[in-house]
Amino acid sequence: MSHTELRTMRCVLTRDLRLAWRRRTDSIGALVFFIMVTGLFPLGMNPDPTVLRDIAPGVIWVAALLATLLTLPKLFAEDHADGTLEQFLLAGTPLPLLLLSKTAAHWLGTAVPLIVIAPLMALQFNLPAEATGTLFLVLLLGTPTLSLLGAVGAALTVGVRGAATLLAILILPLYIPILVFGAAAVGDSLRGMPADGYYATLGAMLVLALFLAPWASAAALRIALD
Amino acid sequence: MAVPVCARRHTPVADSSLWPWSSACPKGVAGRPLAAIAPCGVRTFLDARRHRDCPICPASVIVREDDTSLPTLAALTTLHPGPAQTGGGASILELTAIACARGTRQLFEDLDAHVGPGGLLRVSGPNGAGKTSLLRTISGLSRPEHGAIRWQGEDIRRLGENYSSQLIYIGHAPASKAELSVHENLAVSLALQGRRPAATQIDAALQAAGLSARRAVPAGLLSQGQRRRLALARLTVQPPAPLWILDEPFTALDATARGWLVGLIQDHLRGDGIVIFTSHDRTGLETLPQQVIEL
Repeated sequence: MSHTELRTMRCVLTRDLRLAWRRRTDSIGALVFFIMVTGLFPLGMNPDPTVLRDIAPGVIWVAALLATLLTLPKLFAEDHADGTLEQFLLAGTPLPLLLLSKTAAHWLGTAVPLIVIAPLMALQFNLPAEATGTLFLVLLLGTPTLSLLGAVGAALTVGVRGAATLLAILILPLYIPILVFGAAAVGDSLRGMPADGYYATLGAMLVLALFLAPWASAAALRIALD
Repeated sequence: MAVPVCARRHTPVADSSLWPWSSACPKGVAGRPLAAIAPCGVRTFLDARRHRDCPICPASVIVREDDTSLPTLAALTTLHPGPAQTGGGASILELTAIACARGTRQLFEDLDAHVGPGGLLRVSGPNGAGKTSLLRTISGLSRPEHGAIRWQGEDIRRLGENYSSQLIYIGHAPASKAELSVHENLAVSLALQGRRPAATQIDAALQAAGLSARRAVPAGLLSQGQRRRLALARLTVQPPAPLWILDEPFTALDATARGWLVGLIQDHLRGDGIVIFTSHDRTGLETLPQQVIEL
C-alpha cells in the first residue's frame, strides 16, 4: 500500500468522522435506541435478578445488533445521492480500501458509543464484573464485523427502494453467528467458564471480514452504480 | 515482449535503435521531479507524488529525473503525426463500436470516436438520448454493452485506477457535503484524486472559482451555481488531469462563471488536455475545433 493510498484512506476516515460529528443526531439516535431497548426488558419482564442475568447477554447483543442495523441504510445512500460515490469509484485509490475507511468511521461513530455504554446497561441486568468485562471484549471484537458485513448489505441495496427492509432481510442471517458466539461468551463467563475460545472465534471472524467484506462491498457498489 | 510506445502510448516504436534506455520501473523514486522519456526523446511531466507507481507500466518509457533540454509533449504531434480526429495529435482516447442500453432500451450503438491531445468532444442530443450514460461509460463508471474504450492504446478496464487517476469526472451531482466547509469539500475531492495540494493551492483554486470569501462556509449554504463552481474548482489545481469529462458543466453558472469555465477549457486544450462535455445551451466553445457526437 502506497503513501498516497494511506493518505486518501485517512482523508476518507477523517471526513466521515467529521460528518458523523456534525450529524451527530444519527449516532445519538442509535445510542438512545440501544439504551431504550436494553432498558425496556428489565421493566417489562420478571424483575428476578437471576432471570435478568440469564437474559442479559442475548438482550444486549440483540439491541447492539439492531442499533447497528438502524444506521446502515445511510452508510452509502447519501454519498450515492450527492455523487460522492462516483468519485469514490473513480479515485486513484482502490475502492475496497476507501470502503474500509468508511466502515471504520461507521464503527467508530456508531458501535464505539454502544460498547462504552454497554457496561452501564449491564448494571440493570445485575451482571457481575467479570461477565461485564467479557461483554465489553466480545462487543469490541464482534461489532466491527457487524459494520463490515453491514457495509456489504448497504452496498447491495444502495439506490433500491425500501433499502432498509431489504438490508435487514439480507444481513440479519449473517449476524447470527456473531450473536450466538457473543452471547454465549458472556453466558459462559456468568457460569465461571473461560471465554477464550469465543474471543478467538470472534477474532477470526473479524479478520475474515476485514479481508473479504471491503472487496465484496466494492463489487456490490460497482454493480449498483453501473 | 511488449512493443515500446511513445510517452502517451500513441505510436508503437518498432525501431529498437530508438530505445536506448532500460525499461526498469522507477518505483521508490518518489518526491523528485520526474519525466517520462519516450524513445523518440519526448518528455511528459510526471508528479511522483501523484503517480505512486510508474503510471505507464509495463514500462515502455523510462521515468527518470527531468531533463529540460528534451522537447515536451507539445512536440508529440510533430514527431508522431498519427491518425488524428480531434486535437491534431495521435489518438489517446478511442471509442470503438460502443453500444449502451438501459433496461430493454438501446440508447446508442456502433459509436466510434478518436480524440487526440488538445481534442474537444461535445456530446449532444435530446433528454434521455444517453449523453450521461456515454460520459459515465467513457469514465469507466458503467460498462458498455459492446465495444471497447482505450486510453493510450490500452483498455480502460485493464488500466483500472491508472486510468481513473488521469481523469476528472464532474457529473450532475455536485459531490459535495452540505455539512463540510467549501475548503474541506475541495480538499476531500482532491484527496480522492490522489492529490495532496498545499493549502495555498486550494485557496488559489477557490479564488479562481470565486469562492475564496466563502471558504469556511458549509457547502449546504451555497447556491446551486456556487456548488457547481466548487465542483469545477477541481479543474484549476495544477497539474491538471489530462482527461476532463464534464456533464452539463455550464448548468446554473452565471455569465462570469461561464466565461471562467470556457477559459479553463481553452487553457486545458492548449496544454494538450482532452475535454469531453455535454451541454444543451450555447457555451462559448462553439468557435473551437471540436468533434460532435449526436445521439
